[in-house]
Amino acid sequence: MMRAVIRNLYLAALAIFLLTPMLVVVVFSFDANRFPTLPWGGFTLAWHREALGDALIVSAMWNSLIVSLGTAVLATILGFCAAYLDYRYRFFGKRSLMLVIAVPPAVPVTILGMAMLAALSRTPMFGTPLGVIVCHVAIAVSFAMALIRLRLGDLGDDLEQAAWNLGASQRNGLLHVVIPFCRPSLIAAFCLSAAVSLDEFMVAWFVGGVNETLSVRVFNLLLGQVNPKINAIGTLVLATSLVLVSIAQMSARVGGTRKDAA
Amino acid sequence: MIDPYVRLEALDMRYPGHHAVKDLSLDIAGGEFIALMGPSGCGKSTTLRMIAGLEQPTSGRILIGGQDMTHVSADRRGTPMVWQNLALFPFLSVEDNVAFSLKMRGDSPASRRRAANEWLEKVGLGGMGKRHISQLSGGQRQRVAIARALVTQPSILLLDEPLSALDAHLRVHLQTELARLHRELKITFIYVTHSQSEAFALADRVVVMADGVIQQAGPPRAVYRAPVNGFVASFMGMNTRMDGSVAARSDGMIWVDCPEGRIAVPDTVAAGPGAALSFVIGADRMRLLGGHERAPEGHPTVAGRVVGIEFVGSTQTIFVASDTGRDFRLQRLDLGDDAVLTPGTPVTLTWDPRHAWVLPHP
Repeated sequence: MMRAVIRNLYLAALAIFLLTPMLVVVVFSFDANRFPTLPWGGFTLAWHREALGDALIVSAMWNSLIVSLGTAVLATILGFCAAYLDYRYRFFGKRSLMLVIAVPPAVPVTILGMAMLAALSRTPMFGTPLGVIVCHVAIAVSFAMALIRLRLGDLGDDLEQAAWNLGASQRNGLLHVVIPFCRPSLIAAFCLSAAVSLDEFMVAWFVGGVNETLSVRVFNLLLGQVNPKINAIGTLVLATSLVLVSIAQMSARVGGTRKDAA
Repeated sequence: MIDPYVRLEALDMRYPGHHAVKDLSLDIAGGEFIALMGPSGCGKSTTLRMIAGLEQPTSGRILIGGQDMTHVSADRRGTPMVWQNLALFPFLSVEDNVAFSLKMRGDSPASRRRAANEWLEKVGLGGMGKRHISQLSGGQRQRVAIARALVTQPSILLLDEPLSALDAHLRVHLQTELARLHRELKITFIYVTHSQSEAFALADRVVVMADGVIQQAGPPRAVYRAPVNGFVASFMGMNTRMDGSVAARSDGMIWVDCPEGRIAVPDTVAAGPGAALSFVIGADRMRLLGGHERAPEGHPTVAGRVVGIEFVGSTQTIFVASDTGRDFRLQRLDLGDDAVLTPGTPVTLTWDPRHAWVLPHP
């Protein structure tokens, strides 16, 4: 009894600690006060309206949408290919290749941003949304691959061989058995990659040039003046990320519970 | 055998550090129910997987219906298999599982659905097509796996320990079902199992393998009664093996000197005096002598003590250690007289010498 109370108090404290900063942003985005101060100045949607009316912010949203969608699509495809490569084949240098795929998230982002800037500045991709996508894919693909590889581990050897045995070519086996089996993890990888890209600032700032993503726009706004619009954008970004990560988590869980069905 | 349907020619399978199948040749007739049996690691599953095209033999040829299939890929062989762990597709409905091979073949959705449901009907799962695999019991899943393999009306069905994951009751039930399917379809069944009872109950012919080599192939009764060597004899289990040296020959019998005395066995092998010789006596051929009963003239007797009794339903197996230290097995109808045969009770065993079987190869 006492134990349960202590445990629940601890969990509540943890949740408050994690959520408070985000909650502050959300609360003050609806506050009529110009500056985030107490007491609460009354409910308003003015800052949201103003943010959505700002041409720079809207164009940054479009950029973010394009970049995160592009990242999600490419990272999921490449992540699947890498995971399948690791699952299915044995070849010289496999460990090194997998290490290279896994390493980008572990590198400090400033260094990653500088490196990507140096690499991209010599290509026509520099300063375009495509450039940002390429860099974000490099980061997100390791998460995508990890998620999909986990699912492939549950596939075993038999299902794919059973497909061949029942007349499926290698291509059809991949298409009709391996990919459907991995679908929950593909959805999870897609959403997580989109979220990673949406939230990423440093690399986008280094290589994006004039094509600001939302997080870069927020940074540039902050350089000017403190503006409640920032809280409004923050709320929107937070909501989107939450939805993406929730879908990712739920999909990953579906994958886990179904594995014993065969 | 005239016109074998499946012909395995000198198949060899080497993995790094493991020679799984050695120079294996076997002819299987069309419509035959053949069981490959042996302990785990004997190469029976590898042989089956080579027939299915899931393993490429290191050397040798596989012919099916007169065509060389050795280098044909698995999806073009028409050798569907029922897997030990079933390998059903968990993301497809029961119906789509059964229809999978038809879809790969390019049949129309309507004809696929019709054929799948027809087969579900045949295996007793009519009306369950829309269910999810996870909603089925173990026995039902097994039936789905069988329907899925048979839906293209193949001329061969491969079965890799298909019943080993089921409980004993279901196993017997599905065994009957498989026998019925084989009777009705008249196609070739190649069945891998480590279970002697399954192989004997189902197969026209059993193939006993060990160490990647066929030890003996023949009808179940022949393999059971007349094992060719010590391995097959001990794999069959229900017998007692005795060893000795040839003492003399007379009247179609060989007299063998054993620690238990001079024992007669049928004269079926060429062995000169003094040569080592091994023979087995089936447990069901052994008999216990009653209190003052004397063995018939020429029947050997062995004295020993009861070690234990195993009750197997209608029969019982009595384990006896002879005074010479050999383990004997005796199987008989359950007579309900276990009480007098408590461990340690002295008994005398006897058998008809014509029922001993001399191993051609020890």
